[in-house]
Amino acid sequence: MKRHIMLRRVAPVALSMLLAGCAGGRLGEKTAQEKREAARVARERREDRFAPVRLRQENLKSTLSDEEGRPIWEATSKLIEVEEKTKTGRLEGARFIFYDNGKPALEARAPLVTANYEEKTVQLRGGVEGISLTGGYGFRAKEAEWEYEKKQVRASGGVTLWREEWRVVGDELTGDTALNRVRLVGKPARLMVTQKSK
Amino acid sequence: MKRLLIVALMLLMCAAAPPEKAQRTVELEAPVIEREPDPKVPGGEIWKASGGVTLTTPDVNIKADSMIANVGKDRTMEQVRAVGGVVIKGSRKTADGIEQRLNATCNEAIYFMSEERLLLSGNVRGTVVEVERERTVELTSDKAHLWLREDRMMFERAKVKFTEPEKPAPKQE
Repeated sequence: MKRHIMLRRVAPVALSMLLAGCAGGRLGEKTAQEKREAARVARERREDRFAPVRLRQENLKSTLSDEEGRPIWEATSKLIEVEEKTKTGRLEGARFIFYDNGKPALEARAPLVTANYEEKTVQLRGGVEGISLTGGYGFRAKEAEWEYEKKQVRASGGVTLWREEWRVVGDELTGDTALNRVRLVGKPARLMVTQKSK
Repeated sequence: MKRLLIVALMLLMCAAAPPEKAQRTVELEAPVIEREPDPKVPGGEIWKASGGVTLTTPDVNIKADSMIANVGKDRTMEQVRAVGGVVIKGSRKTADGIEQRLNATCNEAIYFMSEERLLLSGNVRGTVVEVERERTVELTSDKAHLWLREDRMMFERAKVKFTEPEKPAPKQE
């Protein structure tokens, strides 16, 4: 009987202590989370202070021109985020037309593109497809890069370049904007030409 | 009657369709392959391959240190110049249906694709094996022309050695 009374008195106290302990643990964890969140917000604010202009636009068409007003590239994308500090644009679902001496030379599409408006370089990622607008060559690669200063295209990762009657595959491609002069490197690179027997 | 007419029409259409020209594939393998427009031929192009090149066609297989291929205005590969350590393997059938297997090494070779002709130069060494006749022709030469379509070969300053199995002597009665 005595033991029963003791249990009835002790049990609620123990239970309340246990609950308090658990709650205390949760409370400590929440505080740490809050601290992390506060740090993140502060970091973002700091970043915003150094990069005051950040433009975000959907379905945008933009053209970059040289000093004489000749187009360098023309870009259309589903989404573009421009960061003024680094002069870069991050484009999603982009289609670029690269110009050579003011004439359209290459059209390229990629899911992800980073364009530097100051250095005039464009990096295309996530599976690139392109077509030479003067020679009619098509090309496909995992990644590609275009440089205005060098007027050069570099592509890597399962590169295929083709025209109606030939196809060449390799690991890396270097060429001029219109892909008239190209160099393919591979282990080995392979050229296949289909021709009609005379 | 209607069905018959349709079938006849389809047959006529099939007969009227122009016959497709036979196609052949030429393959070039190399660590480095370059393409540029041919400055001499408008619309033509030049393919340069280096670092150990293999050219494979239905008729011939050529290996060399480097190769230059010319593609004409009509977009067909016209000729391939192979330079350095050239090894050629090919086969052809003579007019009387005898299969000839060609093996050759030389310093330089030009393969004229439309004519299926090979011009070999510089320390040419080769063998022509006629499988059915068990005949082997070994040759060394400065220059050699091989016509893969025709039963024709031409050598300049050549040494040729024929090897044939001895014919059994006719039985004397």
